[in-house]
Amino acid sequence: MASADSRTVPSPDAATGKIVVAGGFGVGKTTMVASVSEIAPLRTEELITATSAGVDDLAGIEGKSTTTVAMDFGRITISRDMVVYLFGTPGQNRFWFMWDDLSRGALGAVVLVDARRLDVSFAAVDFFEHRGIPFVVAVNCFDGRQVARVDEIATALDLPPGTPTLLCDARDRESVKEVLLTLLHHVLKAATA
Amino acid sequence: MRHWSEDSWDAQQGGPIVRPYALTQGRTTPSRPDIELISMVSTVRLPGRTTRLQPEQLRALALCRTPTAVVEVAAHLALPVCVVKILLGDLLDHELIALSSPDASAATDVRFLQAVIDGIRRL
Repeated sequence: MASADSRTVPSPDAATGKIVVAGGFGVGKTTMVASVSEIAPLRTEELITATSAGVDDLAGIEGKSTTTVAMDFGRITISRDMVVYLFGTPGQNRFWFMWDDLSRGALGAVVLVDARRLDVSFAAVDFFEHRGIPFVVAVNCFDGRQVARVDEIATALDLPPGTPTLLCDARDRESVKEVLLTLLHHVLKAATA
Repeated sequence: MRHWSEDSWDAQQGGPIVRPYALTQGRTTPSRPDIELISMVSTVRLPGRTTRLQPEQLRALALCRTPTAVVEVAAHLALPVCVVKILLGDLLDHELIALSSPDASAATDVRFLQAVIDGIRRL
């Protein structure tokens, strides 16, 4: 992690982009963000009302049916003119509309998977597939052990053909860089297709 | 018996509901629709003496002397994003900040993508 002092200060009109790191609860999303972020991941909250379909709205906030949903994010300053933000999605499925807001305009998404608990990541795969947002599947090998083969996981998750799937260690910077590069090449391929 | 004024107003107790609503003075939507999570905010000038601002808005102005994304402002102020968008909307109306919103087509912008790839490789 670079120190705050050495950070390149972005220009006021720097181009920004976001990458979404999705997956079920406890698969290591914030860990992945932390591995490449130049800042310790920050947490922010969004207010939502029970009836709200979107989050850009405080209507109904005076009522009691309000809750908060937290999201963690990190930052990579590419240059003075370019900053990329990495967002970990809230783990709970009931915050789907939050995913919508996060995913709008995103460069792409990483679906982080725990091979021992594939079921918690089905929803994320469905979400990005249905919205046509390019994504890769990264299988987090927490303890360095490979518990399943990549092709088996791709089959089990019923991934669309051509979805890059790779093993990773969310704690390891180089490994996470590889995941992001795989995603970006996949996005680039889709952009030039 | 304690007088009601002896009970300090507890932000925690007031919870995440009362405080934001008060901060926005009852408003529920930002004055501008283009304030996004990763819009870049930068302070262009300091407020005049007659400009009435919330302490949180002054903190945002101090923070954004270094260009800072909306979501980072929210994290530093420990306020929900939707509230921060409303507070920043005021600052825009007062022309105290400049806003640079992301290009919606970044995901299909080959030059942008290639620059991000190069940048991540260098990390």
